[in-house]
Amino acid sequence: MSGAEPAAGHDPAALHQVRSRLQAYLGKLGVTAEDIAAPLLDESMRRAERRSAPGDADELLRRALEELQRRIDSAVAKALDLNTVTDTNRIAAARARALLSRSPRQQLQSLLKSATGPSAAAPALPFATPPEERLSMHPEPIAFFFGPPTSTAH
Amino acid sequence: MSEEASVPTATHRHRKVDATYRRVLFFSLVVATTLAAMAMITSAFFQNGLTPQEMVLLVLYALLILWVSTSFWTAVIGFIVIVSGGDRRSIGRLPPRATAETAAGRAKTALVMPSYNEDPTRVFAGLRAIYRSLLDTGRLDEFELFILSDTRDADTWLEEEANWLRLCEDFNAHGKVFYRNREKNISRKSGNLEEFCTRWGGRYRYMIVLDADSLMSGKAITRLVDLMESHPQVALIQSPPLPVNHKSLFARILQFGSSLYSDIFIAGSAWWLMAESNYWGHNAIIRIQPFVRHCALPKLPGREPFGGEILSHDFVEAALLRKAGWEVWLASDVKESYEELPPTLIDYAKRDRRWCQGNLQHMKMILARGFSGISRLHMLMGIMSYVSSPLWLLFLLFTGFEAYVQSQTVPVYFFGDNFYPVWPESYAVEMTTVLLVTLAMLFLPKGLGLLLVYFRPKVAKAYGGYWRITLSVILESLFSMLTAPILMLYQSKFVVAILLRKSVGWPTQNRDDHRLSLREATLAHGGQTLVGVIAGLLSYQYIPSFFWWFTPVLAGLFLAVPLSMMSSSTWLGVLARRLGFFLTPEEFAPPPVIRYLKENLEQAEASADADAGCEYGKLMDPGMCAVHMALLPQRPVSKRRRYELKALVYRVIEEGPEKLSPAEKRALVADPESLQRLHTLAWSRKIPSGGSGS
Repeated sequence: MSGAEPAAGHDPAALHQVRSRLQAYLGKLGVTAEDIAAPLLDESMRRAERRSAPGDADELLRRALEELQRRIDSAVAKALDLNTVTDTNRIAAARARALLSRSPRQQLQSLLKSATGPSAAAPALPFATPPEERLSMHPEPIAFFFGPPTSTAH
Repeated sequence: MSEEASVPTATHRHRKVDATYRRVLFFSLVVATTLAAMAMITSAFFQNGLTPQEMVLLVLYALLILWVSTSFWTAVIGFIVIVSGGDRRSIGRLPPRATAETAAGRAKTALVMPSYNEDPTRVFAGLRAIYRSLLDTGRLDEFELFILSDTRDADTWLEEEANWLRLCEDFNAHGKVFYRNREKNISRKSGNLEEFCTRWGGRYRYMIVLDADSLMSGKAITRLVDLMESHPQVALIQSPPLPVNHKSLFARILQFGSSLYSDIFIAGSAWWLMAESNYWGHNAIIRIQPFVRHCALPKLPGREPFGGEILSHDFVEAALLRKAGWEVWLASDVKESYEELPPTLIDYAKRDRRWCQGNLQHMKMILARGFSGISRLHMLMGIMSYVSSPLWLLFLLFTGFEAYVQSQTVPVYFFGDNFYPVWPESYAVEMTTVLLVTLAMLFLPKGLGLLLVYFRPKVAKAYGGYWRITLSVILESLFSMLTAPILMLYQSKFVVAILLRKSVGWPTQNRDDHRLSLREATLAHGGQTLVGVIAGLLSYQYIPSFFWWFTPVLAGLFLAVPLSMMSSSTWLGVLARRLGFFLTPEEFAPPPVIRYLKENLEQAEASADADAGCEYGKLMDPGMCAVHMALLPQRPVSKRRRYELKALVYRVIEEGPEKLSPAEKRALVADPESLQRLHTLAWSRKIPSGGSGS
């Protein structure tokens, strides 16, 4: 079923505007290839129309965006063999890397193209901090010639 | 890792003897100069007995001249050290001591940059330049870079993370460059570093502490590491940072002054301080083990501004390391270490306000048990750098009062049975000599800095040539003479406010160039101008002879508003540079790390322009939101908290994000679910009439 078909209760102009907005969002994500963008748009629109109140274009747009984000996340998870529920940080990391990398090889579009199964060329996920190697620091007490010493409360 | 600070060696003992000999000489010169100046002024005052105001003047003058002569002799010694080819006992020339630790392999060093609501563009442009410069050395594998963010502002937080990821991507630096944002910024910068040390300190032998505006070349960084490796008894080496990268006239004049004069002050300080130097908070390398063991700072008893958290932690950390027997050096020969200055006089004063509170807090620390005399002296000098202002102010007030009293005294020519008149004695010669000596001590270091450049034609060329540098020094001296009374009033106000227990909090520094408006300048300097006008009128009316001596001070106050506005101009700063005035070698032939910084800033500026159309700010950016989401910890949220967060989201929907406080914005952005909602909201809130819009 094509989401471009106007559903009962939604103004065709509003639907067009919502679709354009989703397209703009996808453009911001760097997803411009028609073969990837169109199915994502159609599916998101179709589901959003079903779940939003008739005539409420704002709600339609919000739900459509949520659907689109969900679909992208699940495509990324599929490409990287991740779980959409437990690996949310890793999915976000992959999406972030794909969106902020200047390398075309790592862009989101390439990742979505490989969404049919775990990609052999899946990018390594960034990690912000290395494993901890802890040391303990205890406040150095300082005594004064006059007056009370420092407290050890930290 | 072993602690070797307490193992005395023959070299160590020789060095101690050397240090003692040098300090005896230095302090003898300082004290002798002070006594000579005091003798001159006292001879004038004692002629007719000492009045109470003269006694006050003597005490004030003694304190001030002691302060001035300390600085003067440091400069003179520094000049001699440089002219004679450098200090043979400096850390850079000491024979290395191999240890089991160094033999065990190359040390891992963390470059740590604490950041608090700083401009991410500048922070990351600097980090990229440092990273690239390290790459040039071929020793990148010895280093890891940490951005230790204490940022509270939600947008800045998002930008920092995106910049971090881009840096990692561009340099293929995943696993080499790290980022963390503290949930609670306990104990400000020192707490930030402490948290780093406790969590990751075990990974590294050293850390090089940077500031948000720091810039260090790979050469400088590797040199510091090599020095530490060669000297296991050393816990900290401070590199002398030079100000660079400025456009406003104010900052360019200060930058020029620092570039020209700081060499002699640094060389002089390093000569008499030797292994008991100080820590300035950044652009320094620290051995992590002793730092972790001795430098966790306690809270001071009492309430702010003297009690509570230690603000100027650097001086105290150096003192604690010295107390534990470790050496702290100032490496005067380490070059290509840079920092930036506040762009305007007002920003400079604001920075002073923060530093002033930190330094005055050391009044308590001076009386700490176990600190070395030199550590106490560092703190005392830090205090004096601000307290000297109210002292000068008092000195001027009392001088004016004394002049007024003198002007009201009717001379008596005939006493008792004396047939011949007794002419009143004039102290003009003594007083003029005192004034000239004081001025000479204030201005001679500038002359020495200039002379040093005259000796080296290549360096002179880098400063714009002999004529330009001479004229620049004259203009710089004039500028510092005019701004000195303005800063004197500011600093006096700060000292009084702090003594009255008014705290300053932790405001973010303004580091960006911006032209001051007439309103801003008038609000900031109007009171000072008024003080200048009133003081001028009073002195002209009642003590006209004093008025003319007083004009340099009055001129600064009278011109405060136009001076502050004019000096904030980047147009004038750039014009002066084009004409070759206030030129520094770093501007004339920038080293690679400065070139890298410039390139990065230009690139960032270009890409910022491309993003300028985003109407909803950083939350609109899917990339920034994604990286933020990736770094947020997944934690269960209580039901009550969830309702609170939802309520905040509804407030955003109804009133717009600008109605939230920074803390509320941060709370939303720190929660993955709320962040996702806000991002969606940002894209769904308005449907542009044109259909698309990004």
